[in-house]
Amino acid sequence: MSTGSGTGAPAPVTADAAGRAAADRAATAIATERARSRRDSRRGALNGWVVTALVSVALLVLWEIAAELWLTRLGVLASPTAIVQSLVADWPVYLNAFSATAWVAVRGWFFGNLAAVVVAVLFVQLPALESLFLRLALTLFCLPLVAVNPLLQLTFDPDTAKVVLAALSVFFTTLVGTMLGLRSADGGPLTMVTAWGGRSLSALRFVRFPSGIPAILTGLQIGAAAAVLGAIFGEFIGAKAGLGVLLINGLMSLELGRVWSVAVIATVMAAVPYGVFGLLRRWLTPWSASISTAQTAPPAARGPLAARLLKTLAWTVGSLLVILAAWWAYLIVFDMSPFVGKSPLDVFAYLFTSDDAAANRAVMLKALGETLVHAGVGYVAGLVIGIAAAVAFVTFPVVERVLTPLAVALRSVPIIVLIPVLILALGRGLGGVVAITAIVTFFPTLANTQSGLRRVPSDAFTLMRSYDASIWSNLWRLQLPYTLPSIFASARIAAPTAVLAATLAEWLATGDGLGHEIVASRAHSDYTGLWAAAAILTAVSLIFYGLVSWAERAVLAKYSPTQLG
Amino acid sequence: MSSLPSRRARRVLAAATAGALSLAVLAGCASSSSGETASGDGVTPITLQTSWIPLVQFGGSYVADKEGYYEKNGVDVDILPGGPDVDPMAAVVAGQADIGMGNADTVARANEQGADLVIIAAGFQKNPLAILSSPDKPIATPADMAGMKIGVPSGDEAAQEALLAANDVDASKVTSVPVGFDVAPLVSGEVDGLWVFYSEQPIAYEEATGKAGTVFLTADYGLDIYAQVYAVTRESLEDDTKRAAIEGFLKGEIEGWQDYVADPTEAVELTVNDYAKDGGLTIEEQTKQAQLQMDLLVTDETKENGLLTMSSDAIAKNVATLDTLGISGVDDSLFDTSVLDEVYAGSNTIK
Repeated sequence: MSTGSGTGAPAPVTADAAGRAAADRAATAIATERARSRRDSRRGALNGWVVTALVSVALLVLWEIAAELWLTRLGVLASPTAIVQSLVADWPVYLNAFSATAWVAVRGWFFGNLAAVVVAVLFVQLPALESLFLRLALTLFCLPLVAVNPLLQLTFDPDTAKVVLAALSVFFTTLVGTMLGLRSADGGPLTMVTAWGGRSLSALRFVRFPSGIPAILTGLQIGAAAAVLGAIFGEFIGAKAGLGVLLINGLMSLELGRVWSVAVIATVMAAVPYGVFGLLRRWLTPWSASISTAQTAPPAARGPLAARLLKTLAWTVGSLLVILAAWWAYLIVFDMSPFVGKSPLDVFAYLFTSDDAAANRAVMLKALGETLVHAGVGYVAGLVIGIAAAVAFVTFPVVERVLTPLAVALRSVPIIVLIPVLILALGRGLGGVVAITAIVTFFPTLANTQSGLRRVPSDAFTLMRSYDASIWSNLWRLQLPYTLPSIFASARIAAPTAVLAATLAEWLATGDGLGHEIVASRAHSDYTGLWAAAAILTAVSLIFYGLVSWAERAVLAKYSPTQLG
Repeated sequence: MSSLPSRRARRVLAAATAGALSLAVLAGCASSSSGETASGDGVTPITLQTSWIPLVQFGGSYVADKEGYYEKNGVDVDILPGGPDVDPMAAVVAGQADIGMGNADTVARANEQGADLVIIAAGFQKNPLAILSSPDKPIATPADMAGMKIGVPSGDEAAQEALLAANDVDASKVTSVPVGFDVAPLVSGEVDGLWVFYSEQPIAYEEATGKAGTVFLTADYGLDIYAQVYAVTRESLEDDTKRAAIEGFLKGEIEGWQDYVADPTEAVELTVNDYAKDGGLTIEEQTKQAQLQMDLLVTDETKENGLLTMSSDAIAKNVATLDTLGISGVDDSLFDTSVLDEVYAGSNTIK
């Protein structure tokens, strides 16, 4: 806190005039500095917008030229003019497809978010529920879509299956974000409610819910892209109309104008709610800085080590049992045909007790090794690029303005459209897979790191300035340490996503790993193999997530203990 | 913390929730009204799970539906669209569909995994799996595949091995590249040859490059696998009501395909303007596809025995090929010609 403004301690009549003069000078200096920085930022903003517009136009022209000369001929990328032509010429087709997909996405988004908020409230009110069921929610998040899609198709009618898929796509991020929001309630008001005799429900209503609103809105904001992608992917299980149908037809007939128009529409469908809910959040809850969607790790439990380990073990075993029970319950409740629905026992037999168990295990282990390499390298690359981009965005606002739409687009374009471009650029080897995985992990990292960097208190900057610190010194000594919790939180969320992206790349680009195993087992009606691969993949994602949480706690305990509360 | 914004927030949230809830109620109404198709007098509802999104590939079924050929034969057919993630065989086994479309090998593989399905008719006498290549570096026969890079979609690896083995090509000389379902890898020159659907991707290739690609059908080189077959559970053939409905369906289906073969114009128009009207297809491109498809539907055998039929000679060849694909336990009981026999009743056309 700056104490130079002189509003603090009442000065005695015989005050030291020099001291007061110094204080006044300081106050004036601060005021001038503020005014200058406001003016600078206004002028900077204007210049920034001009630069942004120029750079954007240049990028579009570059895209047009590259597409015309080279990329369209290779069958991977349409030019902006081709996209506009296709959109104008066939607008009724796009309108119908848009409404079909949007209707699924909106319902999926609504029910997924509603379920997430309800579950988040239950978890916060009853922590035991959280300890038992959070891993189940995480499991739903980790399930490979390539495996889930055919199962949903056989469980529900086609329309419901698509809505369920879109809802599943948004559920986990909103759940985690809402829990974080509800927990971020100030201790002061909470104590006050308790002191006035309020129960935990009143605390929820008067304190937790209002302070959770920004996080909930962030969930709604980010969920839009996920819901659109879920709805499009849902159309792969059979549809007459929709963007997914146009996409399949466009890819089959290599109509690049069509494929990329769908990509543009999907991006707009994700970007508009992203912007609208962002504005809504700022308007409704101006007191909140932008909030990271990711939950920070729960504080380390206190008490003797052995007791703590025992407790952790008990909850882990408990939640594993819950996951297995949910698996079984799904088969029973939906009366899955045993041809398709395999129980944990079937998978166990497939891997350990059947005649072919050794061979099956060998196949799965080899595939697992490949997937781990793909996911691991892509994950690290995505994190590094995401953090670097966030730093560049915060340090150079022009970069942010030019590249943010591109970053949002990368998140909202169905990855299947991008894969041909990436393969062309980087090949089908590790490069291509890593790029595909990195793109998926990059966006959440960027968003979270960026909001973390912004929350660094300005006083700390003032202090650094008084030491004449350079940009880099600021970054290294101040901003990054402050941002560690956000970086870790997004690293945790990105871990299962990286595994999922790697499997998608394996299906479409490399033809190995668990992603390929899943598609091949499905093509061969080997549903036990499919469940086994999906179970292994999910387990790996859970472990991956657990390891990152562990690292998070270890690092934060050392470098930024206050963040652990 | 100021209370005003939070109250405003709560009010807006409440309004949003109310709006969304009413949407949900609307959704409920919409789905309940579009649910079960009512079964009229004496008309049995039956479900056909197709293997891909609506295309002229299923044109004969659309004609049969629109022209009332199904209805005339006492069935009300619900034609379900497929997609990359749809497994029609699993849909039949799980009871979601009565009849599933697929290839003879997908049916055999489902049976290998414990299903009890039987093929009652074969739409495509020749498997549409083909190898497409650039005319500048043509692959006109399996022998030309040696030394080339071939794009193979996940799941077709066994077919590639069987094709090479059947034609004495050294598999170690062929490089397999995993691909999805578009021709981009061939257009960009990443691969020299590509496994494709005979009546689809070659059109796209010509559109994109301005020159016709070199194509050969794997069916002409020893991969005798019926495609677009109609599979049902063996159980359903033993149930009189179900069997009658399946017979009625097949009779109407054959009539639809007869119209298609006589003149595919109606099938193309129905596909583009009705069954796939939101798929963004064009009459021109679907007409090309419909014409190419004739090579798969019509053979000397069907001219003699009728469309969708299965000769004992071809069944024996199918069984042999399925065996080379490494599918165990296949014999000619996978095919059941009794429904076809009853439907055709000695003739080779349905009137």
